[in-house]
Amino acid sequence: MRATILTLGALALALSLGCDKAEEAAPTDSGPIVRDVGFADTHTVTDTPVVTDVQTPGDNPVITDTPVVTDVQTTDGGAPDVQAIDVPADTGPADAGSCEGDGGCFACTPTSSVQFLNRCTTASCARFDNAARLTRLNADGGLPPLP
Amino acid sequence: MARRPPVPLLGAAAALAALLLPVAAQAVDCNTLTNPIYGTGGSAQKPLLALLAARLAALSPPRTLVYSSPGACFAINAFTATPTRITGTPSYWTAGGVEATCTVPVTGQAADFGCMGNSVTQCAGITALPAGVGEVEGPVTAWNFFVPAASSQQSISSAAAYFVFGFGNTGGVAPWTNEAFIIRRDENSAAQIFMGLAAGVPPTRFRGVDAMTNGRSISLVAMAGTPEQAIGFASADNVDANRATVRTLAYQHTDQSCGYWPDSTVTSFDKANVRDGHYWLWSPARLIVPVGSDGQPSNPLTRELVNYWNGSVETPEVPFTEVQIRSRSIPQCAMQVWRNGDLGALYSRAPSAPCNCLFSQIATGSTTCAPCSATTACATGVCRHGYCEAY
Repeated sequence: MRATILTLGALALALSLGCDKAEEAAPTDSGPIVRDVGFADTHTVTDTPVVTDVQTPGDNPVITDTPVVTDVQTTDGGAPDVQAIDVPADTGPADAGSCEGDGGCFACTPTSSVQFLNRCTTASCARFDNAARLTRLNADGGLPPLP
Repeated sequence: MARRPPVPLLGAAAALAALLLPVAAQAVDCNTLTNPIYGTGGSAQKPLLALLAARLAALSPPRTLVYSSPGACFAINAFTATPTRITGTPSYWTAGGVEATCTVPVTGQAADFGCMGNSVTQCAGITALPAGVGEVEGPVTAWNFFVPAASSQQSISSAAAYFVFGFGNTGGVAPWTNEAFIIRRDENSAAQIFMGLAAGVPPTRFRGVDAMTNGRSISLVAMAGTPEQAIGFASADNVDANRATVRTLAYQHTDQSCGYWPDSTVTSFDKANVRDGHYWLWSPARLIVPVGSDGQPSNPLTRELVNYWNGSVETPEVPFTEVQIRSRSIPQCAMQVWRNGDLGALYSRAPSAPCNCLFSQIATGSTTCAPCSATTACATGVCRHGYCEAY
């Protein structure tokens, strides 16, 4: 697929990404689907992703990802542990109970960042105990301003 | 003929030794290289560009990719109304992948393309893409917090990073309480921009020692006199190439219940958590290129580069999907999530031509996918890059 580029100002052409270029096709057949381990069992064939870089001043998202301490876990001594666990043990911010997996991970198809971050997984994780290790948190658990 | 007086023995030996010593290589003038194409920007993409450059140098006729990496924001600064020119001794690579340097004119060299890991508006003074400039998203770069291999630390949270890099000596997050061992970059660095976005620290407010490049960040952390106190950040491809001396920390973002590595384990290379949305710190690398009225680069070499970058062209001589994976970047065809904007909200996106099998094979050394070819069809799925993908 030929790429075109969208620019600001007088130009208004879209640059489409080409990661979808046609590959060799093979006749499909019935039988077990071979996949790499760890990938979602469901997928959706989407349209070619198109970078519609229609940027005007102010359109670019301003990321104001101010950290908020929500970790309520406590550990002995606050030392971090490497947890080679199947799912996060903490209760994540899951939706209704039907989507809550073991340990509170999100067990449904994620549709928000928080759900992706806490989706049930077999990957290893290592919890950081904010409550135990962040000695300069405000009394309400918030972050003080930068010096 | 008059006879010469005999040369003292010591002087003769010294003269002979001088003849046997290798002559220091004279700096090459970049403009004498074959088909040079000049780029500038971040050091995070240098491993990727190095592999690509080797492929381009092996073409007939060869193209020579020349790259200077003073920082991500230089990629867009090269194309503003008052463009910043390339100076000093940028790098170029031979067909064998050997890196060398060349010299540009004292007045500097105009760039043909820029390469950066963040959007242009994260750079000081840039509010939008300038007219006549295009941006092309490419492979995904993960961003890692890391410590010396000897450190006992395993994870860090976004709030912890706020204190460590925003407060330095007074941050109170043991053991990272000594700014001499807190390694950072500057506000032109994509790595610092992203870590700042994640932690809530403006890129101009970071405490610690400025390492200036991804590579030097790794060196300073690896060689820290007190390993337990040392911490830095860099692109995953740079960190992964130095796992013998540094180790990535699991990252726990806001509202995330546990910290995850970019890979499914600390020792894997599968980037599973980046690809499926568990790991927050990643972004697509971008080419910044001047374009003509048709929206395409006027320079044919730049146009060719863009076509490789966005997947429009892939040849056995320049298999860019494979190049991305071998440089430890993640091609978009191996991602299952995407985002708009820097560290924007995640959403599910299935590529129309996945390359999960190829990614697994190259990145980890194995795949469960069945091989296929023009003569060996897939029992099911679609044959892509020599493997049977699910679709």
